[in-house]
Amino acid sequence: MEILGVKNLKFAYPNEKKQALNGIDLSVEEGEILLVCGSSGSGKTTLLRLLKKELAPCGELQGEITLFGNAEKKADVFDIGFVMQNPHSQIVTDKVWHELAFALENMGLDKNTIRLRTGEMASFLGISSWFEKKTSELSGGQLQILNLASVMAMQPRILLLDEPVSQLDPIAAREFLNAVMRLNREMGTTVIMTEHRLEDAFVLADRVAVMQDGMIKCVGAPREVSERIIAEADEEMFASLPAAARIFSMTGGKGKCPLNVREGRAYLKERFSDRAGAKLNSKENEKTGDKLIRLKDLRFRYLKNSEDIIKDLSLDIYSGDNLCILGANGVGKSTLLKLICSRIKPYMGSVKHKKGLSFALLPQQAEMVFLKDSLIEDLKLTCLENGLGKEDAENKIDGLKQIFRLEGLLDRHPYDLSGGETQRAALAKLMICRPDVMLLDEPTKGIDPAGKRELAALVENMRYDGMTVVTVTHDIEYAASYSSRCAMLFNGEIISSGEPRSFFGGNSFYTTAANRISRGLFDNAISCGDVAKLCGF
Amino acid sequence: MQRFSAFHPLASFLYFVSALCVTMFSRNIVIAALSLAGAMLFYAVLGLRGGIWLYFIIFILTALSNPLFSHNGVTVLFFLNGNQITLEAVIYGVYLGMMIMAVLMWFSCYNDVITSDKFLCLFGSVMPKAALIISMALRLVPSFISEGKEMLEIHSALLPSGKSAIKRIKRYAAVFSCLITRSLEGAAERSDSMRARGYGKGKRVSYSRFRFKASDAIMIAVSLLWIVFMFFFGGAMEFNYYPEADPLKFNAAYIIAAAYFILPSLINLWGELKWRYLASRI
Amino acid sequence: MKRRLATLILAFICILSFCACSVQSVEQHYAKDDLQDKTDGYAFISIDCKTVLNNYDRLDDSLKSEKYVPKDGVILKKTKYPVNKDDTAFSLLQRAVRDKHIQMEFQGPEQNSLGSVYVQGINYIYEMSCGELSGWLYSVNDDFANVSASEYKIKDGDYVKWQYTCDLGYDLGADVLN
Repeated sequence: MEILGVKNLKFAYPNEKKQALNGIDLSVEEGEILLVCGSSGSGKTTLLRLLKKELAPCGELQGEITLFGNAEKKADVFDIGFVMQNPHSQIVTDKVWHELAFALENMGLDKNTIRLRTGEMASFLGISSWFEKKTSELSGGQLQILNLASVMAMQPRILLLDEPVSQLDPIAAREFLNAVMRLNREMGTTVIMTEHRLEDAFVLADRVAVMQDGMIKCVGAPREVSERIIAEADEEMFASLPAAARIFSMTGGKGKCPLNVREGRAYLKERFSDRAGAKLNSKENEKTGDKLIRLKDLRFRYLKNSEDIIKDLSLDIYSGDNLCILGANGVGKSTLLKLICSRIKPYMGSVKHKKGLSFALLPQQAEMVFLKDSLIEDLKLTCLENGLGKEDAENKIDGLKQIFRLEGLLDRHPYDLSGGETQRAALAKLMICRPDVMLLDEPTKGIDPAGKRELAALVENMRYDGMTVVTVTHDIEYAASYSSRCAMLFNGEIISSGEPRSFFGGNSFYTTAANRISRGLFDNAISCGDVAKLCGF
Repeated sequence: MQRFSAFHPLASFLYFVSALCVTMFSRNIVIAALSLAGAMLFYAVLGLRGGIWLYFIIFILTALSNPLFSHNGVTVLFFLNGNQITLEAVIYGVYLGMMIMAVLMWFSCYNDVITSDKFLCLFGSVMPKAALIISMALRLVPSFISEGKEMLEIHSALLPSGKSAIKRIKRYAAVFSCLITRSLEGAAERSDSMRARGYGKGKRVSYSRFRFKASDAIMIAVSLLWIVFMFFFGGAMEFNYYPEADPLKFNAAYIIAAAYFILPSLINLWGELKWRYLASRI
Repeated sequence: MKRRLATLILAFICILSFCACSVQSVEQHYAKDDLQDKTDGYAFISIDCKTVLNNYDRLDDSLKSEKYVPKDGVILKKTKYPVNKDDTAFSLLQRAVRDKHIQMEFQGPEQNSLGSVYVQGINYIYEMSCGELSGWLYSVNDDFANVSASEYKIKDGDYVKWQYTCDLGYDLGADVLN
């Protein structure tokens, strides 16, 4: 049964000529999970918001949206749940149980029903153990689960999720998607979700719709859609596909497209078993310069009575490095960055810098580096503070505009930029200080594959200019593809480090999907390109 | 076993209000001492630690400063700069110190027992809108502070070293205004999230997860009885400090007062004992 | 470092204020004789609280004793003291209470808003001890002056009466408001 139908939907934001949505036709069956994907700016969020009356943006709307068939005319606000991108900004109250009850209070239910429903929801989604906590004490992943639970307590028939896991680390993201899957399988809730991290989302989607320029390009089962993307050689979407599908395409596969590691392994074994044992040598250790920073046996804690967050950590950083420090959430990655640039001091051990070394740190929320109301003003101010004259400043900004592709963004408010744009702008600002070492804290958070590529190119550019880059991230794929050296932080110490190929080749769980697919067949293949190369393509 | 904390917010709230009122208005040194003892015991039973030194210093300061400013009293100890320092003034100072320390310690216990959600439960039924606003503020303030700290850190690192203090202050002001912008930005998204969950549609109720039990009714009855008792028999416990302090006389009401002040500690300790006993039999 | 400095300064202030204090035992205090050798004449002083006797029910319970309110209401009967030209109604009172070991408490000029000395209590009877409108007043030669006692200069032969009022002075025949 069709639960939601969209016919020839057109939408334009006020004062904008371009149609944000340009003739969308979509039909959603009751109980399915529909994944809407597409590059940023393709109109995914606009479409999703239009489906929820209360959040519909202002603008010119044509076409029609039918909810719950034609029988019921109007949808109640509680029939459609909506979870947004940012876990923090959706939370309204100070306590978990109160947040769960928030929607139910708005429904005006009686006390016992609220008690029952919050209890049910909390035990279904595993919130019970932190039911009485303050919301300010929760991690991003927990907050997002709480947002989901609070929405689901209304018992909506349709659940709309707008890039719900883009701000979460991989483990929390998987947990969230599992919760969504359970709600769908066990409660029959219809789910419409946008996401650009397809590796995980493909597993649970019944159907995928690909959007481009305000139109739906194709709709179908994940496998069909992947095959379609491969066939059309859609560069933008191709990068988002699961590793198995990418390897399949790169090796010129025919027939059924593999979508996960298991299928990918089966495919490789079947076609390339004759090449088993092929091996890629570790990249020749790129010419590394002299030692810039030496961390020795560091110990650090934030409070006198808290536990050590960094324990006996030693690490050397060489000039020209592009070092990626990997680790799950809460192992002290951000703390380590602050220790490296001596913003905080260890209570044991020593941090030695080469003389006259200067640092810049890009924080996790990159927009925090801006103070002014427009990007250009902010950059000018930074130039002045760094002692540049007016003309020098303009030249400098012109140069940065070229490198960081800021054309057309300079007059915007820093908070109005998209994730990738904010990051480029913030990097540009930090570059004005001309630091010797650039520290990046979780730069791939909420960035789509295209944005990551761009970031990697900028990092390469900086290294070319003689800068050293240290990144902390939980994004394994990014580290594998772009770093010159990786180190793994666990429980406050560096447990392994090395050049990416040998680093990931030596891990069996904490490694890239391509490596897991090719494990046992090939050695040291860590990216799809590596696998394709070993397959002879 | 924090059994006292398990009472309905109304019951614990009423207890604290009555204990505080009696402590503040009795003017009886024995009542103040009993109240202080009860508060200190409960403070320890709740496992609170911080602040005890501060309270003690406040006590010492009040006890010492009163004889310096008040020279009434028949028992002159010595003269200081030509002013008599009297025993009565010292006694009154000790009373004041004990009273203030007791009130402060009851407040610390109150803070531990009446958590923000209990407070909201109390006022949610009377003023649901205000309760929601308080709850939102309690959520926003900590995040505002932590965000502010982070931004200050980022920006003091960005500013080249050796800049003047005025520039630094200007920078702080800029960071603050930027924080405001950020929180407004967040507010827009938050109001979306509220509307998406039906805020403003129909009549809103205020939910609290606390149940009213028979033991809560008993506790409330005890508190009310105590207030009535103190109101009518409090006069018999009047205590004069000047010009000559009354001699300490035994009064049956003191026993009742003592019992009332150690009631919460007893309830918690009894729970603990019972729990130990039950645990030992597992 | 800053903390240590603060402690040091605090300790210094403590020591300084301690040095500024003079501690006397009760005996030492009363043994000191400040009757000047050179006098410009003699003045008389008396202290009474007769009005309390008419308002005994309004008196604080703790003061209802002959120790504090004598039967006739006279705390100090008319006594003669030598004075010099700097003496005021207040300094005469101070001399008398020290001489006769009578308790007295006052606010110095820096302690109140009037900027002059204000006598709060004599012989444990304080302002407002006997109703809201009670307190100490003085008259010189039966004339209630309009200035503070510490500003009223005493001449040879003056008679200073310190009297307790229970009704803003009206019960003493003084018209305080004018």
